[in-house]
Amino acid sequence: MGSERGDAGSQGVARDAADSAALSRLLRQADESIVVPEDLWERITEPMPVPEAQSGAVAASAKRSAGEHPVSRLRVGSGFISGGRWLYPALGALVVVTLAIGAFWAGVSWQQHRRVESPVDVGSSITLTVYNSEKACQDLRTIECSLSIAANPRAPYSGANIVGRVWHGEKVVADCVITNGPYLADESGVSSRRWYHVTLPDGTVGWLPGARTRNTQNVALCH
Amino acid sequence: MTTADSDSDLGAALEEFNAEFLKVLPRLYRRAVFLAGAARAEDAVHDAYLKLSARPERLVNHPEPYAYAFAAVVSAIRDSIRRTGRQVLVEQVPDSPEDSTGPIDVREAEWEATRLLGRLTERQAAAVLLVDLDGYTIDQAADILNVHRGTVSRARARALAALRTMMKAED
Repeated sequence: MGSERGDAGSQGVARDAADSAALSRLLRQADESIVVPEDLWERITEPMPVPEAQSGAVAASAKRSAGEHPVSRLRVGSGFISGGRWLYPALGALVVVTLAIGAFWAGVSWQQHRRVESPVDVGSSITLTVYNSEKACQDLRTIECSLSIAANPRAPYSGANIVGRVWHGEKVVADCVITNGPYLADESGVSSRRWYHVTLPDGTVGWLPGARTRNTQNVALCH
Repeated sequence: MTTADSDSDLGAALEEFNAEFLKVLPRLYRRAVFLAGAARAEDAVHDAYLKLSARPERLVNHPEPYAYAFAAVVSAIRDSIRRTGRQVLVEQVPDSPEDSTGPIDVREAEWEATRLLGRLTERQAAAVLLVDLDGYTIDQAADILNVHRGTVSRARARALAALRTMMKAED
């Protein structure tokens, strides 16, 4: 009896082991058949900025879901959209808004001359307040608590690329913004690919990361 | 960190994060296909990327970046399913898939695996993937998913039972 039970037990273990092996084989085979899209990385990291004029729920929910994250071209709002009933209307609306804004800016460019990522258009300038999310640094004016202004937003954000320093609460004038600069997150987790083209009170001109301000005003896109 | 060059530190941390994420991306994507289907996999991985990039140092400094990112993908999928409901599972393997890009039997394996895992909850399916595909122990999988080891064991038992049922049906 005992030996029968023992046999049954060992048979069960053997069957489990065989089934486990079969499961692993099936999963491995399936794993090999899954094709990873070649441009997956680009699609995940490439931003599609929320149009400036877009003030509806789409933009709001997108910003809520990812701080100041750019919205991927795969995503509209905070949920997955994969052929659901909102996908085509939402994408359609986005395309229409994007085209309208593109046409608008094309008109602006036509009238204002072409600008090459360093425009100074006083008419559309806004004043930004520098924001340092580190509370301990907000009242200090030490080098350690300063925030860097870059000469080129697309170059490494350090060393010779730093042309100026600003501190929490200071005002700078921004004349335009790029929305596809290098991604930068501050210490509180607010992140952005927006970089503002700014002029400091001493006349220094450079680029301030969007994560270093809490801007709520529209400003022209740099071209 | 209260340095003036905290900006550049953050930039450097993000570069490191991106490099690390890129390394595990293909594997993460394939796991997401198992758990959420191809239509949702990309969004799940993207959601995980956004979530993790808010604290880039956590992934970079994690002893098992893949495991950490995998847990984030599972979490993103669960959040998505809570919002939109679970997707319709494949009931039958199509006789002649139109979009087959490989040998039919290999594609069938994908469908069968998806059907099998579809009988489990997302967390249970994730546990099965960690143990039976990625080779983690039950205890490690439980740690990664932050569940009790019994949950992982039960998930595997259910997966094996489902596999047996499928095999019997085929016979």
